[in-house]
Amino acid sequence: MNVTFILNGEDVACTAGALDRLSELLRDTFGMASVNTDCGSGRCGTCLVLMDGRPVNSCLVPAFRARDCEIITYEGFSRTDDYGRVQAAFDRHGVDLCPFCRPARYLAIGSAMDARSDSRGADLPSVLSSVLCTCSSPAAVLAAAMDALAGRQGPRYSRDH
Amino acid sequence: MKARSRGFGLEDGRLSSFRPPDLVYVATVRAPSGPGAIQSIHSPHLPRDYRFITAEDIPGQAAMEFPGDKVPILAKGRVDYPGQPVGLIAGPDRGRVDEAVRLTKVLVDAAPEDGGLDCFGSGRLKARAQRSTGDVDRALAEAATVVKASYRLGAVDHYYPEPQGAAAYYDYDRLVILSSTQWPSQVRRAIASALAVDQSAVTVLSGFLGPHLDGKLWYPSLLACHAALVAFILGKPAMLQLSRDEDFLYTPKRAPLLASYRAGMDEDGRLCALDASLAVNIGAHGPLAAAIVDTLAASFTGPYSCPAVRADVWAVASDRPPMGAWAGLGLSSATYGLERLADACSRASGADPLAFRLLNVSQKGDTTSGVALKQVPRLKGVSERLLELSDYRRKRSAYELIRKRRPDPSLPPGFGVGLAFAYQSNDLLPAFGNLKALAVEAELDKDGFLTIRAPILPTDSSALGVWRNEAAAIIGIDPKAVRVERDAGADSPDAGPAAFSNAMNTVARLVGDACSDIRDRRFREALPLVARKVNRKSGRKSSPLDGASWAGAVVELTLDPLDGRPRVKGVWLSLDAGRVLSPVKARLSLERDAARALSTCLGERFDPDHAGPASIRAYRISRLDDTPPIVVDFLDTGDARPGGLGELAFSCVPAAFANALSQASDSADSEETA
Repeated sequence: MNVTFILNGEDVACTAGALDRLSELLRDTFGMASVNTDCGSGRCGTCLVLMDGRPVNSCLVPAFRARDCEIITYEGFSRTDDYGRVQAAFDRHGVDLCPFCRPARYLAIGSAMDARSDSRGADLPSVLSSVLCTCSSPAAVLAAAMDALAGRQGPRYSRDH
Repeated sequence: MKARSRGFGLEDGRLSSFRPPDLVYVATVRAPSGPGAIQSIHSPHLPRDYRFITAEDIPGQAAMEFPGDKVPILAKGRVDYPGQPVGLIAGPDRGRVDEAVRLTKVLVDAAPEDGGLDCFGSGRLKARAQRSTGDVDRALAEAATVVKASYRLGAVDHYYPEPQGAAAYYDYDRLVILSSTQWPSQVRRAIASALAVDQSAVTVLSGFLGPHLDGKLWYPSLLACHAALVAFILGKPAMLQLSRDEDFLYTPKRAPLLASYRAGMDEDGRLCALDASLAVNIGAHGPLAAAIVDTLAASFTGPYSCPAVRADVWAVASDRPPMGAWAGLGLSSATYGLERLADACSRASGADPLAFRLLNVSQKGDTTSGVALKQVPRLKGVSERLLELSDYRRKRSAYELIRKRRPDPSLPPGFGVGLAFAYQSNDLLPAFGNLKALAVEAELDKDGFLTIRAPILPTDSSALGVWRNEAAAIIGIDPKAVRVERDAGADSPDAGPAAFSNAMNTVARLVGDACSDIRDRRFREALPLVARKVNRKSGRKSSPLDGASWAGAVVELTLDPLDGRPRVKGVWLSLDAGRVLSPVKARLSLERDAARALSTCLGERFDPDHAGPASIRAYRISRLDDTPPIVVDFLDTGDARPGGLGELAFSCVPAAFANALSQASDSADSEETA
């Protein structure tokens, strides 16, 4: 079936099988190397992408569900100002994430930055916990993420206005 | 002529980023059961461009050779364990390759054998080590108190950031291997032997290693042989990457341990005899069996003094996939058993656990480890700082009061705090390679740039940054003017596994020495200046405790009144590891290690005898929001030499956790006091 969606700000179209996963589509068809396809069961969380602004494990999303959605991967997020804020916060805390969890963790923080809820800071540990990686100090990752969040006041845009 | 690279190197070190043209994917056909004879292998009809490869296709040696054991590259005629590779299917489409593997049927006349550690015959021994000093039987007979205890440690998965794998391609006449390995020289040697080519025709590029916990010592060589075999036969770039489930089920885990002790104490609570029987389940193949039993035998007394000691250590084979190392080749396992025993002895003698340890710690000149100690183990400073950080004494007293005065003794007290000490020593680790071959060259050129050439390099960029800063500080130049290069040509000697702390610490010391040499000559001789330092270790035997890094951990926990599960309230670590080159990086790495070590105590349960596809779902690694507060503190002792840090948390945190759990549940694994 044909699937059209917005990938990192660009309109794209492709053919996807009924059983194809979004993670495979992004990695194999569109060359999004940041999307890992390791576990295929949503366990590791390293295939996280933003789907209409919400973090999802793309290995658990059928490819056809991307139709008419906006998908942002790490490649797209790395061109935003928020990426710079997250990167700067991690640098300040001396945290060097591995290339496997960095995309997913940065995107998770990026989604929290855009969340409108006042409790987004409280949700951050559980959002970051969706990514399973043992490469860094958990406390330092959380501190850097909170720092990044504190550097960004309020949502970037509101769908209500 | 130097071969020109075709540029298939990995930009970010990830194997999954390897996507050259004409790539063929490789998947492994495994034995469904074992051990036993292979009755038949039925593979489906494969399309053109696809190939089924068996042991018959290996042009050279069909097995990788290690001291004391051989590991078949592909099983031939007989499999030794369920899941052993018996063939490879390679082709351009990954989906089709996986489908072909699913359709391939391997029939094995399996006869499962006993894999337990409680009872085993000499036929299952892969390696054995013994150590003895004094008359243990007599000392035990004369002891005022004898404690018998046994403890078990289970298998633990390393859970690498990327499942293991390897890629191979030809760069003109050279075979290039991409492998996430701690030991590139071993990979090169294994491939040259399997393909019957000269080692100089094989180049090994190391991929991203991540927190490997000594799990990538030999297994990457097996995977690299598989990828190289396909590239050799098909003449195309080949990539083999295990699925997460395969990696979980078939790559080496921490070897399970059964540690049984008899400890004798005099009236004052001093150890007078220690008799230990340590058995590890090494699986079907034991490339590291000898190294693990040697390390266990050398470290089973820890920092404690005892005039009569005896250890019998066995590596026991089983019909399970090969087991291996975990953060220190047995040192962390030996420390776990000993620190559990120390708590049992303190209970039996009525002493405070810390007081018992400090009473029995070795003094200068002590010969318990077989060699006279030159320095007193630095536990006093570590323990004082640890007490200060964790408020251990008050908590311990309060929880003991709760334990003794609880109204219903059939219910657990529910509160516990435990402590344990550990050390990390370069002298304990086996020299797999030739450490004397390590040489470092530093060159300060006319433009003021410093180039350091070392045979092995740190595996993470932050450690490399620490080297740069250290070298720049010694000479007095900008860190940006320091380049570090790997100097490991085809003819360079095997210096053992890279990222292995004994070799890495030696290289770090040589870098410092070379830079100091240049600093001393800098304004007296003309540039460029070259300094070459070669490792010349003294022939005199020294105790592994001399020059070791020291750590103490306190873990506090409560038992959930509803489900009885332990909830960790906090972890405190105090360390004396000499001069800390990068305090921030060191603290972060210790916090990470402590979190992972705690995770192995809480939800990481893997039973090799009942492993199956569901095992990975039941294996729960702690996530970010599961982690309790962890406090790490380094003592500034003014010691100029930096020490190792990578194994300390894995040695002391699990023992401290188990000691706290014993107090909270008012029980111990298996203890008996006479």
